[in-house]
Amino acid sequence: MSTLVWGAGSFLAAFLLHMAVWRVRVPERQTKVLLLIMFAVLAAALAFLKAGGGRFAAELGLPAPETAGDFLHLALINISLVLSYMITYSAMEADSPSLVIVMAVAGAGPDGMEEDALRRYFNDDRMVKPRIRDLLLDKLARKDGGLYRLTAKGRLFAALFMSYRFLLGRGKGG
Amino acid sequence: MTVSRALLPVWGLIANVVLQVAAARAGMPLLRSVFAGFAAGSVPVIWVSGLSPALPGDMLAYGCFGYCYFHFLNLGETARRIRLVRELFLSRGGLSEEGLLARYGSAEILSARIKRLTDNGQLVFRGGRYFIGRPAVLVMARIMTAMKLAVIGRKSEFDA
Repeated sequence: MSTLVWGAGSFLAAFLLHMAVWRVRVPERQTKVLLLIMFAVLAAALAFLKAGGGRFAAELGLPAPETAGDFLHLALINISLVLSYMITYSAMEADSPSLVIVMAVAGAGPDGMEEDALRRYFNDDRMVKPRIRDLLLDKLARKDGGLYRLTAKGRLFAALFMSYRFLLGRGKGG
Repeated sequence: MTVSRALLPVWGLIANVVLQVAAARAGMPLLRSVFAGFAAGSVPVIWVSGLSPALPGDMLAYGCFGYCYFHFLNLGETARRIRLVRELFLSRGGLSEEGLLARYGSAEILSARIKRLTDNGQLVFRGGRYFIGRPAVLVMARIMTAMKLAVIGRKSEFDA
């Protein structure tokens, strides 16, 4: 139980710190800053417990991890929460086309919505060009003489997803 | 707790992934294979953890890893960035913006999503117009909008 308390507790502390930072200013490279905050707080919690903080916590009636396995379990619980939040956060950063379609149709009221109206909203400027810019921002691609080319990170990213889709026997996706 | 015991949620995830891939390759629909893999991976976690005090932590970590795996599969299935990266990977020499848009433009994105939403009953097409069918995706959209407002302070990436 100590691993759950400290693993989830350190995630909660990192989450509150992230919310405080975001209230002041949302960073340009949000994912990078978020990861930095999350893992810095985990490292601080582990260092605190290792440096005798566990005894201090025990005096306050809080359970504390003792063995190497306890510390690993604590870190796994924390990392699983961090990764889940990161993946949910990425869905918050960019508008999901499916969710936007459904919200637009719901917003049209009882008369429903014509496909033409959806097509007017869903243009390349809204749906594709921001994601092309994201490739540059995340250093997955670079632009040379008007052409977009993948970086080494982008090629690795592409190979990972393409090989996994091949393994599952799926098509292009998107 | 021993180190190998601490890794129990990871062993569960490995079982989940192996069984999900096997089920998908055997022809099971993707979403069903994800649920089947998750259920199968939870068996060793619950079995080994039993009623020990570590069970809530094990199940939380296993559940979160399963959620991440589902999103990894979903990214490959629907994410625009992954599709753009794929088009660039296959182009070898690179692509201009016009070239990228010709291979993957908003018309294809919209058509694919409308098909998925109508196929699973979330949207209904009647008399040349779209209406909300089942409300599950609409509920998700509203939750996501509320989360965006709470965390990022805006409803859409296009809001100022």
